[in-house]
Amino acid sequence: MWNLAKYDVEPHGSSEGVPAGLGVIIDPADGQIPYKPWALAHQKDNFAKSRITYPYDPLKNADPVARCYLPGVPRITYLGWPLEIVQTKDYLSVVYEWMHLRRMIPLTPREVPKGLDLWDGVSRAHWEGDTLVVKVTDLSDHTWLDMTGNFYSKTAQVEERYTRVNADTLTYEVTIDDPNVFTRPWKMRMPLQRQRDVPLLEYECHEALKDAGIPPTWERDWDQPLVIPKE
Amino acid sequence: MANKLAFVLATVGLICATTALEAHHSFSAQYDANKPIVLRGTISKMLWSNPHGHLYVDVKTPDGKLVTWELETASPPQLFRRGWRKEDLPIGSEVIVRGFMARDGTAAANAAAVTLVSTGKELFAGSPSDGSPEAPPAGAAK
Amino acid sequence: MRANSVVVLALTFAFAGLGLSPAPAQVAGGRDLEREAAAARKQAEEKTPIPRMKDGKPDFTGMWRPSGIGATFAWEAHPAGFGTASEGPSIIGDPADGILPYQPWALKERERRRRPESAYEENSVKCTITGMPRLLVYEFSIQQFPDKVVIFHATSNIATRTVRFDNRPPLPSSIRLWMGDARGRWEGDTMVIETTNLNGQAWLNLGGDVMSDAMHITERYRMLNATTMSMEAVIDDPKVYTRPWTMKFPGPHRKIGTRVVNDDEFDFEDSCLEGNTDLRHFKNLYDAAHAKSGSQ
Repeated sequence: MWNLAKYDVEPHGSSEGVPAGLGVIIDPADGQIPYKPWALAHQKDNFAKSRITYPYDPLKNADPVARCYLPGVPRITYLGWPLEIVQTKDYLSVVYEWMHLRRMIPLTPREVPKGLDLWDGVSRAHWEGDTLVVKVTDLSDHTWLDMTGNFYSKTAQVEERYTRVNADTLTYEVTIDDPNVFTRPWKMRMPLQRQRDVPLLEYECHEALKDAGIPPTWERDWDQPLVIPKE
Repeated sequence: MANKLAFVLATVGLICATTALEAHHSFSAQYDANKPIVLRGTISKMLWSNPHGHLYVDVKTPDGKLVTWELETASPPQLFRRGWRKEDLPIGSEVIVRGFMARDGTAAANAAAVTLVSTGKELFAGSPSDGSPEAPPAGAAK
Repeated sequence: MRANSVVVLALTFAFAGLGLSPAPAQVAGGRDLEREAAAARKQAEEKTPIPRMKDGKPDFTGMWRPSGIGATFAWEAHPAGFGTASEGPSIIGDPADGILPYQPWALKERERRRRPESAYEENSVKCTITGMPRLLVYEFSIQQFPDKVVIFHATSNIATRTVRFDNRPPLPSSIRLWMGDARGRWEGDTMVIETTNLNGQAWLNLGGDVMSDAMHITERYRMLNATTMSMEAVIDDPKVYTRPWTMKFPGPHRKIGTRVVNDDEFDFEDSCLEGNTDLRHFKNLYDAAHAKSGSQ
């Protein structure tokens, strides 16, 4: 999965270690996330708190992925590590190299448990012709969408659409709808390229941090709730 | 005696609900079987986290100070399947917790059972698949 | 809670009736291991035809439960205790005495690991993938396709293995993985999975059984009928043991259904680091022990 969405899903200039990119947002047409004013300010705050400057301490980076926390959906798809899709008629299993994560997505109807908010949300899938549609709900507000602090809240609904274009290519389209954060739903799109005969390897993120001199942590700063201002 | 039997029965019943044996860390290394504890206090926080949930209970010491105890529960899927919901133990509610103390001497314990004082409702909080035993009897010393 | 007590009462009396004490030592997660192994052996004698794929190969698809696993603490026979879930028989078939053929240094290392302050060094406490061969003692599902099997290890600390039958060469030896690199082949109706490229850092269980990066695992799966299969694994680790040994369960594996993973996994994610405050306590014990001894 080689695209630049992991850095920033919007158009962006280059910075240290980050190539410039035109973004992956197809709707709205200007490629910008349609934030409400309070949310745009919050994203800028996230951005400021996640800049990598040297000497670098990942534990002080507000980006949850810098501390190896779950990337959530859809960020896990374009995080930069490969994924493997195992498909049967009753479920889709997506196995991710990053932190040995896997999403088991039922293809048959199954009730969504109530009252939860989860880093990966709860996924339910169905076919629309040759497109697999995955609706993700019951999300938490602990995750970001990329390294610049783009985000959604607990009320977000994410819809992934996987469409086979040819034997080795899928189109991955994501619609994000969250009336507390955005003025309207918006969409991203990117290709997912298959690599045949390459197995999924491993990325134990926190082991890599430990090898780089950052010991395991148990800080709980992610559980400060996102405060959504009253309108 | 009746009390002890009740605890054994309760534990066996809930153990039967487990379909797979799993243990992601050593229960006996973290908690001490010889240090059962009963705590009474008010809930200040409840975190639905994996691999174990954590309940934080403020307990008043004999000299009037407030100590926050960290109590480990089963994982959110296990709690959810046992009927726990987030609204079951609201912040500020008074609870009695029975469990076993952590070996490292911090204010932490594994919660086997949590009783909501206002309703008397008892929720089994332990993780039998980790090897945590039944709760100590209600009369165990603090 | 109420509905459960009826079941509980019935079970307690059932155990009492069998002359077994209802103490938790005899049950592991609600399972009576000796009875399960005996039931699995009996089930293996049934003459139900082995399901087959279109190419004639036996179809291992299903959720499988190993017999005789009492605890995640040790693979040799062990008693029950605080934190070990239950007593359990040895799952080592060779040597015949069921004792791991350790080199002396490795046996000392295992004893060292069993102290509470060493628990911090174990991999799954830090939310690192459980690894192979440790996962072989837990339930798993096999989803079989013409060119591969995908094994979904169904524990709370999840892992997935895709095993291809295409005779591809092993990964370069510089690639070292917690799960190793698994390659499959058929020997008649036996599915053989060979695993190399292990990083040797995982523990084999919570009781600290030892492995190194030299370990080579050969698993052999053979269906006995529609609902049971035999599974054995030869473990060869010349840095740790004096000879190869064989993992063998008291009874065959039983197919317990067609679910692919535990129900919870369709609804709940596998978060771990996000809430791992337990690690603080393990580190406290580790630091205290090392401060005392003055070592690092």
